[in-house]
Amino acid sequence: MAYNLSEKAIAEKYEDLLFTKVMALYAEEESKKILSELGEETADPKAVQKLFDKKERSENLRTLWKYSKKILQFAAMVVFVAVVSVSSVVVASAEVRETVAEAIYHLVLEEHEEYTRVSIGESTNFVDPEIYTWDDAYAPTYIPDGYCFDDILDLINQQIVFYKSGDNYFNFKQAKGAGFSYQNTENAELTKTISIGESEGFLIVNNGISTVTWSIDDTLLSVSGTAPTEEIIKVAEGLKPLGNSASEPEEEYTFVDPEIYDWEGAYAPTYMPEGFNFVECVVGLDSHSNTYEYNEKFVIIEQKNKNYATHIDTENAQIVKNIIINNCEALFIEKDGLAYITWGYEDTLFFICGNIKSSEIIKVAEGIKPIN
Amino acid sequence: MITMMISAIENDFQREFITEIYKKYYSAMLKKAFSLLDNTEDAEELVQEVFADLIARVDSVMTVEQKKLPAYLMSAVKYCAYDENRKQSRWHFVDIESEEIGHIPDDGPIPEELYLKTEAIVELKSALEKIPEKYKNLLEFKYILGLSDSELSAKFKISEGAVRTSLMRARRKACSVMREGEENGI
Repeated sequence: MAYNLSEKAIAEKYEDLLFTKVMALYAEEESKKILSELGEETADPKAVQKLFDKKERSENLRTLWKYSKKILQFAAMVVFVAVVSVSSVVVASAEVRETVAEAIYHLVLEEHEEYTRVSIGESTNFVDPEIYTWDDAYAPTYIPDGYCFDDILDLINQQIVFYKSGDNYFNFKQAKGAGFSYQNTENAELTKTISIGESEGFLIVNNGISTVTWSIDDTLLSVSGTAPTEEIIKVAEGLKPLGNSASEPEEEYTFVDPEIYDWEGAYAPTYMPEGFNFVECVVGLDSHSNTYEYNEKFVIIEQKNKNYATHIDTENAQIVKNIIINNCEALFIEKDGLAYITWGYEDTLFFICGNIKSSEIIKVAEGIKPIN
Repeated sequence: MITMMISAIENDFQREFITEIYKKYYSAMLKKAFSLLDNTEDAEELVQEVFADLIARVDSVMTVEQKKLPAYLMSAVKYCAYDENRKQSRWHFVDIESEEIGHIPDDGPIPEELYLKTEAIVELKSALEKIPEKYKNLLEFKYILGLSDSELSAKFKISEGAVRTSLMRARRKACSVMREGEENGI
């Protein structure tokens, strides 16, 4: 049995006791520093289960993606084989080449007759100017009698405005970044080039529908409908730039819960479906993940450095497609009642998922704007 | 993975306790791990290990006072970060038999009067900030994490005698720094 009454043994025990007290005080003060860095947080018992649910969902997403690579590779191989096969047939067979050429010919704008020069009025009294709110919008200065605004489809880089009068209708389409268009002229009753302002346009009348198409710089414009052809042409001639320049002062956004998005380079939502409230934020090394919930529905918005990949398993997904979010190419996936959108912008990767409607989650994604 | 581990805790009270730790301190622990390892994947893996260890010892962890729990968790991260095989670990235990330890002066036993002075405890606590990190870590592992000499011996692969000697050196180094401070009027 060890002798514990030596001076050395006693001194050691004293030191041990002293430093027990010292380290207890040290631990208290260090803890205060850590807590002050973390900030005030209150434990919400109800958030416990939500935390698990959310974390389990995100961890499941990560584990599922590793299988999708094989599927994508297989799909790419199938597409490649199909393209090579079709190309081989086209190259090898003269008959096929002729058929393809004829089909392409009918799909391409072609000149049939001389230009028809039409004068353009200088009216700048816009019809329904409040509808045409997008940047560099063209708006009509003439609408045929009896026609009134019916609907508008405002998509990324493309807007379509519908007018109708009884059973007749016409629509005006403006698409940015599309300098030419394909029109099917096969069996058309009338096809001819016309002038719209200083641009060369193309008129097609087919099955009672008249379509005028022309482009100005990188904007494609078209007017199409069952209204009389001369009215369609007059509407096209009356389209003028409204003056909503992109160089105007940037829109001020109304952010949802802006106080949460307080880190440098943060992007915040400007839209959240009604009833959804912020639940929690989980901060990683270079990522922030915010959860919103309403009843049994949830939306997760994650922002991270793009060096961190987002993995989503697309196997058996109902929808996998590319879409455009804020002028960036994004991946949209719908699977088993969940919708996912992911895209990158400069050094940032965005990931949104939720069990809400696709249209709503797209709206949330499009509403993500820089706040800091 | 961590949430799955926590979900597996059968006792509701223990599970809720660990959940609160995770919710409140995960990001701080991850940052600490990253500062030690400089590698994201290793840092995440390290924090997972820490939580696995906390869950295994949840009964004793639950006895840690709330006001000391954050420091306890950070010490746990540092403790788990030490691994001879972890090449990116930034610190290492000072070998008791290395030359470095030989340069640490031994001023003899701590004077008894120190044990009786409350202010001595406060001053010693301040002195801890100035001693080498490796000594401070050792003191944290011993007193905050409550590890025994045998556990430290197994972790750092040195004898228990070497552990006791190193602890003694660490304590006396703190006292030495405190005395230097007193002499310099700090």
